This record gives sequence, C-alpha cells and structure tokens, in this order.
Amino acid sequence: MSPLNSNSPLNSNLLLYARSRALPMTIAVLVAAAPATAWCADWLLTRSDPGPRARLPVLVLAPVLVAAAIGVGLYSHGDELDRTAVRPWWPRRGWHLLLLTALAAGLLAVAVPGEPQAYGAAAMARNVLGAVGVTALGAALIGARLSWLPMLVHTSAVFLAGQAEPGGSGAVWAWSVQPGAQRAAWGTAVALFAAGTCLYALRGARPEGPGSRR
Amino acid sequence: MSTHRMSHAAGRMSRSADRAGHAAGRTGRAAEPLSPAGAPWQPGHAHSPRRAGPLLTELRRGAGLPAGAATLAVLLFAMFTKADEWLSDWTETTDMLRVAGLVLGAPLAAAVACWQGGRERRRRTEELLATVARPPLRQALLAAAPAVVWPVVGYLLTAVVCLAWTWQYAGGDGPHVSLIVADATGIGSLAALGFVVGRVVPWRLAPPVVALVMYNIELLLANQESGISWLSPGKEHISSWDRPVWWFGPVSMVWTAGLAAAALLAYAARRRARALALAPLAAAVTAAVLLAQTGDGLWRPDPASAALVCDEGTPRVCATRVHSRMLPDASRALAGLTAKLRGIPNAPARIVEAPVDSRASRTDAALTGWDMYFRRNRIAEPEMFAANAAIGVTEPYCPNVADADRYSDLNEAVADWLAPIPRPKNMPGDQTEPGYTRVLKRLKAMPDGERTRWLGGYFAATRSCHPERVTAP
Repeated sequence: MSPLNSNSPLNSNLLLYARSRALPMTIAVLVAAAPATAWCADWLLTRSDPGPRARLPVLVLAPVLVAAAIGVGLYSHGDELDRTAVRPWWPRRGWHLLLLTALAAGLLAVAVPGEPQAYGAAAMARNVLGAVGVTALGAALIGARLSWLPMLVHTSAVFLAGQAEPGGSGAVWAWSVQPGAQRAAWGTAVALFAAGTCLYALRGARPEGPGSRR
Repeated sequence: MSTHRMSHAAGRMSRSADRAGHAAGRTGRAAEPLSPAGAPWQPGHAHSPRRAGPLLTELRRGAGLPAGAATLAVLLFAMFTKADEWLSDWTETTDMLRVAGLVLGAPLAAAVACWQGGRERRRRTEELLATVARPPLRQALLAAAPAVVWPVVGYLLTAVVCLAWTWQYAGGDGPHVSLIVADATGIGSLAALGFVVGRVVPWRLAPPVVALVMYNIELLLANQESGISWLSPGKEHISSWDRPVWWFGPVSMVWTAGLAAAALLAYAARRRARALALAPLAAAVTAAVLLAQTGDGLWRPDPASAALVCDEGTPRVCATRVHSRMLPDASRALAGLTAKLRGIPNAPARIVEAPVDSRASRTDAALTGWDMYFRRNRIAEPEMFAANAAIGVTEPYCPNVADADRYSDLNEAVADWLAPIPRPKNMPGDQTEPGYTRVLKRLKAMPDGERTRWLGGYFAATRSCHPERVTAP
C-alpha cells in the first residue's frame, strides 16, 4: 500500500473542502487571536486597581471572536449539490467543528495562564465551547453569515451580570461570565456545544442567497 | 426631483434591473427588481397616490427594526439585572444607562450597521445603484438610516422606562437629560461608523470584528489614567453628589457625531465634495481636545445634592438630599446605636452621610457608602449598616497619632460595644488583640454611670486626637 501523497483523491478532496469553507482564513484568525488575547489579559492585570474580575472582558470577548470566525466559515456554496453527494456529510461537518473548537480552546486557554480569581484557562475553554455551540446553532437556524449574532446579543445582555456574585440561577443564563469552577455554567456550555454540533452536523448551515462568499 | 429626472432614472433602472435579473438567475434565485433605496419593487407602486418615501421604506424593512428590538431587549435586560444598584438616584441611573447603552448597545448596533453596509454587495446591486440619479451620499444615508435610527430608538425607549422607574425612588433635581441625548448620539454615530466599515470591507467576519474592536477601544480608553479616558463615550462617573458641566453633553455629541459625519462624507460624497469631511473632523478633534483637557473637571460637586437632611433624634442621623428617602430606614437601623450614645458627654452630635471620606466637623461622625446597605431606598443589611456607623463614630481621622496600637484597640472595643454585631474580620491576618479584648470586657462589665463618664473622656480625647489622655477602663 503506497503512502498518501498530495495528489491522492482523499487529500485533494480535503483540500478542496478546506478551501471551500475558507478554513485557512479561519485558522489564521484563531492563531492571531491567541497573542492578542494574551496581551489584553496582561494589560488588564497591570492596571493600577485590577480587581478580582480584571480578566473577565477578555474571557468573554475572545471566545465570541473565535466562535464568529468558525461560524462564518460553516456555509455551503451549493447546498442542493451537497445533498446529492453519495457520502454522508455529517462526519465531515462534525470533525470540522470539533477540530476548530479544540484548536481555538487550546490556543485561548494557553493565552490566559494562571487563575486570577478563577477567570483563567478553564473558564476560557468553557466559554469557547459554549460560544461555538451557540454560533453553530445560529448557523443551522439563521445561516452562517449571521451566525455570530446570537452570541453577540447574549454577551451584550449578560456582560453586566458578571459583576454579581457567581452561582445561583445566573450560573445557567449568564454562564459566560462565571468563574471557571461553576458546574452549572459548565453544564450549560457543554449542552450548548453538543446541541450546536449535532444540529449543524446533521442539517448543515441554512442555505444563503447570492453573494454568499462575502 | 423633477419629472424628467425621475423618468430618466426609471428608464435606467429598468435596463439595470434586467441585468440584475440575469445575475440572480445564475445563482438560482428569482430575479428581484429593486427600488432606488434597495427595497423590492412592487408593480404599480410608483403610481400609487400613497406611495411611501424611500426613507420610510428603508425604515420599515431590513435589519434596522430587528436591530432596534435587539438593542431594546439587551439594554432592558442589562439594566434590570443591575436595578438594585441604580434605582436610588438620578446620577446612578444616568451612569448605568450610559454604560449599558455605549458599552453594550453601541457595539451591537455597529455590528448590525456593518452588516447593513454590506447589503448591496450581498445582493450584487452595487453597479445597479451606481446608475441611479440619486447622489451616492443620499443613497448611503438612506441605506444607513434603519441601522442608525432603530438602535437609537431602542436606547431612548430604555431610557424612558428606566427614568420612569427611577422616579418613584430618587430624590434630587432629576435626570441629566443632555447626557442621555449625548449617549443616543454616540450610539447612532458608532452605528454609522460600523455602516461605513461594512461598505468598505468585503469580509464576512467584519461585523463581529467591528463590535469587538469597539468593545476594546472603549475599554482601553475608559481605563486610561489621564483625561483621555473621557473620550470613551461609555466612561462612567461614580458620584451621586456631582453634576456634569452644562457643555459636557453637547461637546460629547460633537465628538462622536463629528467622527461619524467625517467618515460618511469621506466615503460617500462626490470627489469634489470629499474635502467637506474635514469640517466635521476638525469639530470632532476640537471637542476631543476639550474633553481630554478638562478630564475629571467635566463633573463638578453639586452642593445642593450633598446638603444634609436630618431626623429629630439625639444624636441626629442625617442623609444627603440625594438619599433623603433612605433616612427613615437609616434612623430605625441606628436606633440602638443612638440610644447608647445618648447622654454621653462629647459624643458626636450627628451621624451624617458623607459623600467622600472626609470630616467637615469634629462633632459629627461621618459615614460613607450608604447605598451599599440599601436596596431601592429600603435597608437591606441593617446590622451591618449600624456596625459600620459604630466604626464611623469611634474613628476620627487622626494622622500620626502616638501609640497607634492602643488607639486602635480602644476604637475597636468601643465600636463593638456600640454595634449590634461584632465587626467582620475581613482579612485572614485579622486577630483579636489582648488590649481590645480587655477594654471590651471591662466596658460591658462597668456600671452605667461609670461607663458614661469613661466614654465621655474617651470621646473628648479622641476628638482632639490625643488618645493618650484616655485612662484605662
């Protein structure tokens, strides 16, 4: 059995898939987001009076950015054509979302080392999971082009709730502004990620009109 | 527009619409002729005597109305979650509206406006609209209108609801209306900037990036140590006893609206008129310099808000006018403390709410941070409030006092005897000192007459910052 080379059908199929979903641009955004996040987190901690929740803005906003980058790449150029394919799409869509989420969560978690008052790597990984889940749900229900909107609306609505005491019912509806150890916040984020991944993998993104690439 | 120009434009529209139909057909979507404003065209619509203008058509359709509804929902929800913190006075309400509107609402509005800015590109009608007689600036203003107007309406409705809610709790002179108008202008201006970015940048990720960049710029600006921080439209000012200078609101409007007008003119004006963008830009820069140079002076102390309103007890309990509706509950919470102080010579004559940690009179005990213990003018933690008041009564400001440890032990022991609960141990290193324990035990065991005499001597010595004159109890 000969090793796979760049001309093998599998490789070229994957390359075509990656290019058609703008994966190079998505990965570039994820990679660029990590140092920017690290710089912002450091800057917030070096202020004169940082406070216990100093890194909260970064913990909330960076996952929104990477989830948006992943979400806008979930479109399909020809959904009618895709439906005629012999192979099922769900494994490819599922792996697409899982691998990008793992990459984003890993990169951003490394960008916020330590746990200043529990707004550290664990909270960042949880927020990436939840944000990607909401964005994937958005892609399946309203289209990839606007998939970032539900997470942005949620973030805007709960941002001020981050100054309240953690826990209680807020750990469920304001999961993204909770410290890393809140179990209910983790449960919500994981449930959102599972729902978003399953729905997107099974249904794909909602078809878009003309001009879908921009 | 004259009849001749209208028919000329309509002729060009019909030819261009054919091209748009071919383009749409290639993508598998039915051809959709468009009005000059970009809205779907209805047969016979142009001849209707009740034809809606392009502005009304734009306002009724597209992303604007949902964006306004989302802004309203987000702001109302955010304000509701923090209601206990701002409902007690007008300045707090105005501040919280400013933070919610500019830090949360404006980036969302800008993202939707950016999305709206890319509408013609997504519909592939840019060439078609380039053939329309209407000037590009007017086209851009019409297209931007829904994404600018509706979020502003959402903010203003939020402000009306929150101010009406505050009315039943707040005392004082009323809301700072000019700041609310400035905030609405700021939201509209940031949305207009987002629209221009959407027109210029053909990138799917542009709308969320615009929102996140705005969040970050506002955070960066607001956290600067210098006067530059006041260039952030969402910068808050936490003091219920200050008022903004009269020109703060108008100059803030010039700052944000000037930037937006400059960007719109630079993008959409015809080539010869593009230099006009320098005028609003110059106005914005001038306003920015004024704001940054004035810095914290944009808010001035308001003596009327800090004027004291007192009860009739002995010693008297006084709240500032802003918090005068807290006074009945405050008097009740401090009833035990004032009963213990009554009849003690040299004890403070008044327990007063102090806007800042300062002591205007040696005969008063100052108490800061009332709003920490109150929710909507009703006291939430009466025992903590009384314990904090006991600390205020027993710790006159005496820098460089001799034998600071003994002074501290005496103060803590007297405070704990006055307070309904012992003071909380905040720090892990907080330990009970033997001197404190001995003084407190002796105070509790003293006969009433002896205790009154000793406390009279204690208050006389500490008021004059000579704690060494206090005899051992």
